[in-house]
Amino acid sequence: MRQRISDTSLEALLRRGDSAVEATEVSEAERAMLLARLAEMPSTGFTPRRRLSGAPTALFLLATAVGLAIFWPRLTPQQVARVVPISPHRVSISPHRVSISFLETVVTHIVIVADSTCLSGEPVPTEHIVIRGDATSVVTTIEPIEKTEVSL
Amino acid sequence: MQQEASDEALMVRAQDGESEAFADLYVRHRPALTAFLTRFTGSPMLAEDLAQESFVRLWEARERFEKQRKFKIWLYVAAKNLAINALKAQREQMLPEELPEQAPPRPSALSELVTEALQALPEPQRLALVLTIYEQFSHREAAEAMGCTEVSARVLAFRARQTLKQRLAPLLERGYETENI
Repeated sequence: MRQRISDTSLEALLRRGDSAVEATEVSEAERAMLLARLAEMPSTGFTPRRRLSGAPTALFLLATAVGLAIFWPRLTPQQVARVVPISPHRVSISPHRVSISFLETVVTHIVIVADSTCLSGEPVPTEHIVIRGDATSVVTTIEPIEKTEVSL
Repeated sequence: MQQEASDEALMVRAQDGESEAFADLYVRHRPALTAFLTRFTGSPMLAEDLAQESFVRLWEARERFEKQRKFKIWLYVAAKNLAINALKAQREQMLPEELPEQAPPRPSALSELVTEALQALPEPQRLALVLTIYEQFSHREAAEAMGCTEVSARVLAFRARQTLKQRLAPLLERGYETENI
């Protein structure tokens, strides 16, 4: 049966087998190197950080709330039809794209090319977006291009 | 006889832009910090780099030092965070076949066996053990450095000791003879 090992004997073993005991003292050259490195670092200024008072924060929140209330997007066909690049893919629309100014139909189609093939010079459509809507509401469906035969 | 300035007093001078005061802190603490990082990471070379980087980071963040805080703990928090990130980055760079095996250690020198046993501990346990045994931190100080409660630090250190006792039992029973371990 194994004997019970005390904390003291474990600590003694850990100290005796410590691989880090040979840590050397810092030489003058090392000290000078550190000082040189610190001198190269950009000065951050020594003024303590100022805590912002509550007033500007409250004003910012109020302005944000008012801005959201006024400018929160009402989904109209024109707004939805705007093409927004999606990182990290390149996005473009097919040659048959629908100009926003002519978006008067209830149903319109947009083909999005959004993969690395954009770089090869011959874009391959990847997604087909169908937008159905009227002046009050818009429904958008997005389908992968391989499942959809697009005829514009 | 002139009394040596405290760490915290030196740090306050460093906050005023006195880099010489900060260099004194470096001279005072860098060897012990390197030793701590060697024990924690298992790599003396990595420990050297991390120790230097820790001081550089503290210099950058010197404005945030609070006078009532103990400088040594602040330093060890920075070093610990850098070490954990470095170990994580090392693990992510390793291919699966390069990951260390959990096979029993081969016969080797005492320090290698102790290092292997330490490195086999989960990081939090290893940190708690190294801080409390080698660095002589109290459990409260270790907790502060680790960012956990004192109870958690105590439990982690206890579990680390239990694991090491099991793993190193043959060595302890045979008076540190390293053959056939």
